[in-house]
Amino acid sequence: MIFFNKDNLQLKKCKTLDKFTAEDIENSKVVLIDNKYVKYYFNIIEEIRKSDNFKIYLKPIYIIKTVKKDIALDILNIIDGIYSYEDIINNNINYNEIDEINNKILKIKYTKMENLGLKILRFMYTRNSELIPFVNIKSIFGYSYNYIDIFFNNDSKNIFDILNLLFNKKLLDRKFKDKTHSCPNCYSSFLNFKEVCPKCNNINIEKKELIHHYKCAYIDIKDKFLQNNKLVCPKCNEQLEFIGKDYDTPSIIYHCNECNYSFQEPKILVSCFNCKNKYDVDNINTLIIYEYKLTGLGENAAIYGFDNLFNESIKFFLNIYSFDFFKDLLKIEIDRIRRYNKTTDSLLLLDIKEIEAIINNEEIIKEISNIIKKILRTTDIITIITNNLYGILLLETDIKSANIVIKRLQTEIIKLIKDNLHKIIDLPCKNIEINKSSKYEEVEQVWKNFNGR
Amino acid sequence: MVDDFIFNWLNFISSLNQKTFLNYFWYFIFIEFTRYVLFDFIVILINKIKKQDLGKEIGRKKLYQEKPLISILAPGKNEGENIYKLVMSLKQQTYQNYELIIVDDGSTDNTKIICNSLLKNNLIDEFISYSMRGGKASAANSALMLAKGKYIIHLDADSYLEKDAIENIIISFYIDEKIGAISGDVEVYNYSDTIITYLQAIEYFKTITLGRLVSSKLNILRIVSGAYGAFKTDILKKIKGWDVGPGLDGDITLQIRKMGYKIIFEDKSICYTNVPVTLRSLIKQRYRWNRSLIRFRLRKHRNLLNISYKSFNIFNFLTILDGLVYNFLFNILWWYYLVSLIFITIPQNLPYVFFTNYILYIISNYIEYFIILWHQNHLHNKKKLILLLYIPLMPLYTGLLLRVVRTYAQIMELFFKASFYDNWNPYKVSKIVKEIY
Repeated sequence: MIFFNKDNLQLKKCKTLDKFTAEDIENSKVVLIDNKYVKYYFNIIEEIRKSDNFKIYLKPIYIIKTVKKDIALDILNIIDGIYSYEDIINNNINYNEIDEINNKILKIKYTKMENLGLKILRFMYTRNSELIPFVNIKSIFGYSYNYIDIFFNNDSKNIFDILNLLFNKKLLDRKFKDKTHSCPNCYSSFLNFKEVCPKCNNINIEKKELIHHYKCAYIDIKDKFLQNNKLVCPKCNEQLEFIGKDYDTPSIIYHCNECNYSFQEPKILVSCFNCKNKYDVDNINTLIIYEYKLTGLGENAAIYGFDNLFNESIKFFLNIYSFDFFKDLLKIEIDRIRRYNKTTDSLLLLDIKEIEAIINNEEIIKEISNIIKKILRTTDIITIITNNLYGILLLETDIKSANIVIKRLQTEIIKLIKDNLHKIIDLPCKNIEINKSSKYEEVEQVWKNFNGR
Repeated sequence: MVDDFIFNWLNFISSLNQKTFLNYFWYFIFIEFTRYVLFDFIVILINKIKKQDLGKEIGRKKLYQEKPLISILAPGKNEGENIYKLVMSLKQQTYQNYELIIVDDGSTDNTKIICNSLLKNNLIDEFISYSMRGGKASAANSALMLAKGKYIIHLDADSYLEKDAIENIIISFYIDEKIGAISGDVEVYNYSDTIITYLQAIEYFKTITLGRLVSSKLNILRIVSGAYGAFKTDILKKIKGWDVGPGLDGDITLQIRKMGYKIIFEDKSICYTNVPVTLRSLIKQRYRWNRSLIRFRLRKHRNLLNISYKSFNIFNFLTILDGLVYNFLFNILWWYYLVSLIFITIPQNLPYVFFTNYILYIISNYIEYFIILWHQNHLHNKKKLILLLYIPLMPLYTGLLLRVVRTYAQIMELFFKASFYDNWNPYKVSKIVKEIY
């Protein structure tokens, strides 16, 4: 592995990343990888791209082809380019390209609110590229996007939902590319289509041809007409001559050997090879695959950041107070309680890091806000303290009641996510009692130190 | 001027003695009045005295003990919009162990979509759709192929049944084992649409509600309507279903009679059907019906008249004879009567003769109507009253209009085999079947 340093083009060779600090990577202009060892370095590339620090994850990565070996598609997908060994020796590197990327990285403002959506926007911004879907058999729905697949660990649903959300927020523009049929549950396009009996869903069905003998109006399956390889009418015993002249075959009919039902159109059952769920053919999803490109708003968001998608969306559904208002109210409450010493308030801190990471579907965000609305009262004030931290001030609530609220929130939200996304997440909560001896600075310190534990 | 006419007419009446009365009105007295009024009255009277309800109670018990599956067949073309009404009517039935089989014979409207949706929602049990029309018989036979019930009820798709219709029609199978098929009562649903429908409503009461009941009691019932009839499934499967129509319902009834089974009319099982609304469509329908008389009874089943035929049966003989004589021979006789009347009457008396005939027919129609009311008592009052008003038009309708159509139809069929050129059957079928007859 070679690092090109920013200013003096020094080469630093190494085999693992731990020899380098984050600063090293930050300060270098580009990361070059020898393709002879690229398999070993795949983890390192992953680590870089999955970092939370934009100065690291946006770093241009190139591969040097020192040996004539093909580079795997999933690696090609996350690097920025390839140079041959001769290029390096002869200093044939396109610095412009690298400089452009790095210049753009410089423009990006630091923001606390790191999230996947922002990552995608920043990638598109720094690489000045669109997201073009290409056919990839390794992708569960058949398509992969350059750069961004690595962020999602093959969770295709997430890819879809987040790109959709970014489009809905007008941060991306999109153009129709293709459609695929997919499983409504896991978005897999690897589906098995089966013809089954519409009544009992059994696959043991037989297809038969019907024959209509004009002369005597008799209709039955072809088998009943067959005698010694000839067609003879069982009703009037006449031999059938020519189709269209004295008989025809008006229809196909299916027969289910299990439940004896006869029908003309079999039901088509679709089963997903990935998650094994079964659906009626009318109920399978049609995924529309788009090409995406940044809008002006999106470019802006890439540079200056935006509140993460979860928080953005939940503001539609819940009444979220500004942090300033929250702080003011908290100060007043602390004063009031100290003065009158009659009741206590409770301040709840909710760490939504795990929720935010996996939810990008507005429906689920709406459901979560419904749960919160149901459990809280109108006198409970919610705010967003930081990107991953929510604060809820429960007025006139003692510790016991507050703990009940926490328990209910945790149980119901975790259940909702388990039922819909089949994932078990953690929703850490902390309860701070606001009583006559509380001080604002102490309370503030608690949430500043709170990181989920 | 009307006063003069009435005055002269009364003069004419009073001038009649027994002999001249017979001379002028023998057709009415001996042919119409005896068979259709006197006969009917006597049969209903006997029926009222006999009171055969006991068998029905036992029959009902047996029916509900066994609870056999009834297959209801409704083949048709472009009937999609009526199917839903039929489904709802069946849902109200007192007897619920049935399967509903719909066959779409080359519909050109949205029948297929409607029925597929009904099938998906489990409102019908089986559905076959043919993109190419095969004809009523093949459609009925397709439904028969799928039928799994012990008894079969064949309906027109635009029928509507009384709540206890199915129960009442199937019970009779339990009363007498020899019964092979049962004709239900067919009445007019849309009787109040036009004058034509009012007249047909009265006609149906006369010929079906009363007429078939009488034929049934005399064991000479010759038709179980396609509009509403019940059959034993094994019989139908044995003869492999219906043969090419039109008149396939009469045809199959005669086939079942030939097998030795009884055919009866169940007046308590009522089905309502829609009748043609315009004069033109009525004429078209009757033209079709009347040709089938020649095609089947005169041609296909004339061996029933053969006394030396090995399975000769007196009732079957009388059945055919009744139809042939009254609908065919006496029809010809009427034309003779009309011509002879013109010859024997002094020209200035002709209007009075015709008027007297007309009055006589009106009276006999009212008598028949009251016989029906005496026997049946399910008509609601409004219907009873309104129909009374239209009876005076019946002689024109039955005596003139229907007679003319009937005569023309019979000529066309007898001499030109016109039914085989009708597109009631698809051409591919007509072409083949023509060769047979």
